Amino acid sequence: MTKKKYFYLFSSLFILGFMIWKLRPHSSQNTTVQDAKHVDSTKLSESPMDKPKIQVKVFATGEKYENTPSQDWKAKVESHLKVLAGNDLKEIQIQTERTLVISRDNHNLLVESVVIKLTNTQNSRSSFRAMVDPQTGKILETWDRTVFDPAHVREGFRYKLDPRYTN
Amino acid sequence: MTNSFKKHLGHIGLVWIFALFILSACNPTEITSSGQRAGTSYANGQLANTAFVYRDSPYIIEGPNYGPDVDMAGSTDQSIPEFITDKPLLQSDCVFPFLSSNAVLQDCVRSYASKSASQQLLPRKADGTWIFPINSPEFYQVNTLFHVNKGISTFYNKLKFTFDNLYSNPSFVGKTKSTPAYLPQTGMFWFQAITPANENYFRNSFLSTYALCNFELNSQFSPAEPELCFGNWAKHPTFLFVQDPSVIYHELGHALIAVMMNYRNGRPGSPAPSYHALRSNLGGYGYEESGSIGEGVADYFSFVMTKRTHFAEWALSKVHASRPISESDPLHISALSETPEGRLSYPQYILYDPNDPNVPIEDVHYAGQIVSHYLVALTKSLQSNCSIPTEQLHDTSTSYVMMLLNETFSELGDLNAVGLDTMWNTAYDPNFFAYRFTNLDENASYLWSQIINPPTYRKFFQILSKNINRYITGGLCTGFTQDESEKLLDDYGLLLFKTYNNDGSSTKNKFVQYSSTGAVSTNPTPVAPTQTHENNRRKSVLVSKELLGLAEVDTVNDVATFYIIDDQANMTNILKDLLFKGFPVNLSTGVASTEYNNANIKVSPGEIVGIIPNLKNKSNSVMAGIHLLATDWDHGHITDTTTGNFKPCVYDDVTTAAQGGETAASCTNTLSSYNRNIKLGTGLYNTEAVQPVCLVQIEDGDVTRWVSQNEFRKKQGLSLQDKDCLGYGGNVVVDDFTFNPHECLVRALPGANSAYYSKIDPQKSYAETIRTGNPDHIYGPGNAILFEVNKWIPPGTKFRCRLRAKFSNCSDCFNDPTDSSKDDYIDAEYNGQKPFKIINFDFDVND
Repeated sequence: MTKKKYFYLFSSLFILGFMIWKLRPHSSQNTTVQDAKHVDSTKLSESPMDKPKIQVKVFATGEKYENTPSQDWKAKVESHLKVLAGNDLKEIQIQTERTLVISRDNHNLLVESVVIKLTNTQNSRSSFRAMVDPQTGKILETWDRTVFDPAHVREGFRYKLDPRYTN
Repeated sequence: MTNSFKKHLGHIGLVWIFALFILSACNPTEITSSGQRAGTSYANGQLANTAFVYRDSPYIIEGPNYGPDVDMAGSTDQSIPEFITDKPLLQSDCVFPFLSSNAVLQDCVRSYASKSASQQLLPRKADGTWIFPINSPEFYQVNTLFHVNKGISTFYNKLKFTFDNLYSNPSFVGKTKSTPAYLPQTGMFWFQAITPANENYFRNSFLSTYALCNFELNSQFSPAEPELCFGNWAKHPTFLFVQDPSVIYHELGHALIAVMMNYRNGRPGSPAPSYHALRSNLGGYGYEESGSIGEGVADYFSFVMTKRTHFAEWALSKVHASRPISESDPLHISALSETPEGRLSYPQYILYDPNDPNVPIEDVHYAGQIVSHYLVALTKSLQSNCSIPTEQLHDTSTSYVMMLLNETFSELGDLNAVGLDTMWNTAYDPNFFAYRFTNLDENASYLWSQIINPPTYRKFFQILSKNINRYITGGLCTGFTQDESEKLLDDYGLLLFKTYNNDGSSTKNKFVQYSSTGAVSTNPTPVAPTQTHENNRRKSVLVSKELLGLAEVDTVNDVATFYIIDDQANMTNILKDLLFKGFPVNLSTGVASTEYNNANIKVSPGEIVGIIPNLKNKSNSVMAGIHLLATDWDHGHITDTTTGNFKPCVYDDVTTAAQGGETAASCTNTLSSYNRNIKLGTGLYNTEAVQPVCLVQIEDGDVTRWVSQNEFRKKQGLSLQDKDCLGYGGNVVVDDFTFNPHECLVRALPGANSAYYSKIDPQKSYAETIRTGNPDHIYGPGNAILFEVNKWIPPGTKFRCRLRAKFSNCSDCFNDPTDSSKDDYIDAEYNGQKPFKIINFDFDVND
């Protein structure tokens, strides 16, 4: 085999290896949605890139977040749900699933992913998942909601309009 | 009687005697009145792990007049036992026959009787069987597991068919596809995440079924648990929904849709796969088309399992609520038939209830009939156009359709947003792969796929049809041509698109495209998508968005431009209903509340109001699937990055440059990412961002301008601090990083910031359309958009909310009319105004 052939062979192998490396399933996490565990929620980042006034905290996985989780975030969420429900709810369950850091509106936020289960006074049940900002108790997103298949669809919740409004 | 006949009789007699001998050798057991077999030891183990089941509902087995009070003894097949599970408890595994090996998820289904805090899985009986007294709670939970397992097994066989074709059929190997090859590595062929032991991605990775839920005439699927629940009928205590296997299959169908929608939301990795933070769903609040698609496909799954073109003959027909799945069903009105003219077409039959055809109803289940009927018609058409052995007609044709559904839902629900796998069928890592080909990007994908651009009849059938061209016409059944496909779709009024949108354009740049083999390139002249054949469009009428507007006030015909809900009772009930359906809106603290609602049919300070814009169709054809958005969008030019204040872009003759509008600058292009106009970590704002919908009018000397609410609150002598704004969740110690000061005064409530309208008749408003047979002005909860109104707003302040509307049979909502390729808008355009008609909602805030 000539030197030229060796050169082409090694070049081809190198390029092939590079392509495999580029296209391999990577072990690192998604750029924006990262799983993380609390390790030190008060540690301040010393990076010069960090913004003024904002305390950037770090997780075990190295992900930084800006919000300050409250110890009683679950109570805040429950209180919020009770305001919405009035006297109609018999039971609220909030079960935690994941703690993770997400990018939202150019801020890295630590969020809690929870399952919320509701039972109303008629014993009807529903559930959904929610992503909560543990600082404010705000529910940022909900998904995986119950799909209801009632026999009498005409008896579902409706409201009667007042046709007087003519702006 | 001839000798020959006598001889035959003799033979038959011998056969009977022989059969009795064999049966006696099997130690036949006696059935007691309770259904319990007596005197059986089962010592030979033949009945181990089995039970006697009802194979179908009492309606099918006993006849239509049977019931509703029921004894299931007559419906239970007590001759041939069925395998239930070989587990010691009533649960079973999910076995997905993946290519040449099995992927197994242990204990993926658990069957219970009813829900309680102390619920325990039922143990197998001491005799090794699952045979419990007929009608007992144990009997029903065993039967539920039998039918759920049957449905799952069928689904996995069809998924195997999909995999075998996608990854082994020479026609498709090497081509892009949506159903990922790495499903076994991520576990996303079920509700399971493959996670390290100390993680808790999904609280439960098994499906629980509850045979005896205390729900009145109801059944449900809850993906967050996940669980299936089957209700009862208090008036007839022995009547149960779970007695109808088609209902079990329908609810399981919802669960399987949830699985298919999330195929792509896990990526293999080391030490464990990674999963998107959210999951995709099909359906939202109230009536909307994605929910209708879900109901239609769930009905279709019942057809796959039962081979019958009617759903819930037992559970729902007793209360006049069952549903046909084909036009040939006798429950239908006579105008319907399995002919091109007689199909259950869109949008004519959106509000059609075959149980009460004279009273229209806006409901996802009945609107979903169009989907189920089309899928059954497609199945039958494949049976007649493809070379399928007679004995395999149903199985093979439904495998084709399920393969189409696998591919379609997998694409629709992709939240990782890459939308493409490597040529080795591994997942791209978003860290190293620059492009996104579906649902904008991984940050905004949930918003895009669920709210901004969710599945509609147009979007769903466009992708389904693309997959028909790719897999059916392109390999599995070339006899089912593009024309055949388009004609059938058009018979249903569903040929709502001009191209198959198969040009592989990136979500952010139409010049970046991927080829059929997945190679990505930048093309100065983009490759055009495959166009539909226009001569196939006969029933599917497309209408210009310019003919959609607001109704004018007509006191004679009792027509308003907007309807306002501002009484406490209605608004409180709406908020409760939203919460219970999984939309817990974040109300502001201290600046708005239903306590301020005064029922004066005006927008008043402090109120939470529901707005129903009365949209009018000024065309001569029906408009359908109207979707109205009050989400933030790119309609402003930011003039100051220290405040984020902006000038509204001029898009129509309503908000003009003289009124403070901007015609140039950033208004000439559309933002490619979804960034809200909120403060960054630097304390500054982005130079470009999406804006809340509501502007406020400010007076500058003789000039009045439409400005951002942040500008108004600082300039009009209000000096409102952040804490006095709507949506502020911070305090003196910590900031609220989700707070948007540009919605300080009036804001559309997230979770209730979009609305749907099934259809609007020609030259009518929505209210007039839906009022037919509805004289009391009863509306569905999904028709309203909710706004919070800050209590500190000075009376007389004028607001303009720039809502955006599009609809499914729109001719100019989905592509640029000047583009000869008719290519669909890329996802990023949904940040702007091009796909939409702007609906301006102007109002004064007054006590």
